[in-house]
Amino acid sequence: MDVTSEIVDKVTHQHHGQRAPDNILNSMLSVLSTLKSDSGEIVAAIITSSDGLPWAQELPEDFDVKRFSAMSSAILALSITMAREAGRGDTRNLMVEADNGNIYVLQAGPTLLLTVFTKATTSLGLTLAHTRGAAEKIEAIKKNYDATKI
Amino acid sequence: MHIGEHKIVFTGPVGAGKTAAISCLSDAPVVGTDVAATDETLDKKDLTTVAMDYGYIELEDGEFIHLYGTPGQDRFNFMWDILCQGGMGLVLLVDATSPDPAADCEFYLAAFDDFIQETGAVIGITRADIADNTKYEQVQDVIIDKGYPIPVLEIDARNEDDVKDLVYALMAVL
Repeated sequence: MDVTSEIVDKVTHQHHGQRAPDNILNSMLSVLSTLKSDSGEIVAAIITSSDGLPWAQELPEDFDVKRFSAMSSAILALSITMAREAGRGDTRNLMVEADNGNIYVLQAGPTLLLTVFTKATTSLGLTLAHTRGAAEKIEAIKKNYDATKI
Repeated sequence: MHIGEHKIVFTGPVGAGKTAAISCLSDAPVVGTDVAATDETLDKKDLTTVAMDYGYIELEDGEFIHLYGTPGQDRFNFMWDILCQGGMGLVLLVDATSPDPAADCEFYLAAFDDFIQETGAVIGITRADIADNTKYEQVQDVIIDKGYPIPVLEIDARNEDDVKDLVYALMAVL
C-alpha cells in the first residue's frame, strides 16, 4: 500500500469510525489463523465489510487484499440478489469450484463477510463446516464490539 | 449480444444517480446489489451498489436495450471491465455538487477510455440546478480537451424524460 492510500484509509476509517480497535482485529486474526491450522486445506482468508473494505486477513504476499475484498462483496451481493429473485430465500454461502482450488464466501453477521481460498484437494463438507464455525465466531466478536459502542 | 439486443453501461462517482437513472428508465424493477455503506459514501447515502444494477427497456419494434449500472468506487473497477463487455456505449453521470466535477469526469473518462474509443459516450450532469454554473463549464472544457464528440446534458436522474434524452444523445454519437 502506498503512503497516500494509507493516509486516505486512515482518514476514511477514523472519520466514519468503522475500523475496529486493534484488540478486535487481533481477535478476528486469531479466528483466521485457527481456521487455517484446523482445516489444513485453507490457504488464505479475508474478513471484509459488506461493502468491500478489508478488516483482517491471512493472505499470502501475492494476494491483493483490497481487490479480493471488493470482489467478495460484489459476488456475494449478486448471489444474494439472484437467490432472492429466484425465490430461493436467503443466501447462506457462495461456493466457487475452480481447477486449482475453491473459494467460499460466507456472511459473518449482517455487516461482515468471510472469504476463504482452499487447495485443490479440499474435502468440501469439512472445510465448509470449519469456515462456517469461523464465520459464527467473527459475527460474535463483531456483535460484542458493536454492543460496547452503544 | 444477439441481434436486436443492445447494452448500455451507466457509470460515474458514488451518489451521481446511476441507480436512480436505471430505475426510472427500466420497464421492470431493477436488479440491484445495494449493501450498507461503511466508507465515505456515508456522507451522501446509506446504501451503495457493490456489483451492478440491471434493468431493461423493450422498444416498440421489439428491440431490447439492457441497462447496466456499475459500482462507483474505484475498488470495484473489475466490475467496470466485466459490465462493459458487449456494451454499445457509456452514460457517465457526474454530480455537479461534488467538490470537483471536472476531475470526476476526467477520472471516469480515463478509466473507460478504451470502451469509449470503441463505442461512444454521453455525459449527464446531475444536480446542476443546485450547483455553481462554472462547474458545468469546467466539465465541458474537459470534453473539448478530449477532442472527440461527447454530448453533455444537464439532467435530473430521477426524471424518465431526462434520462431518455441522454440515451438518445448517446445513440446519436454511436
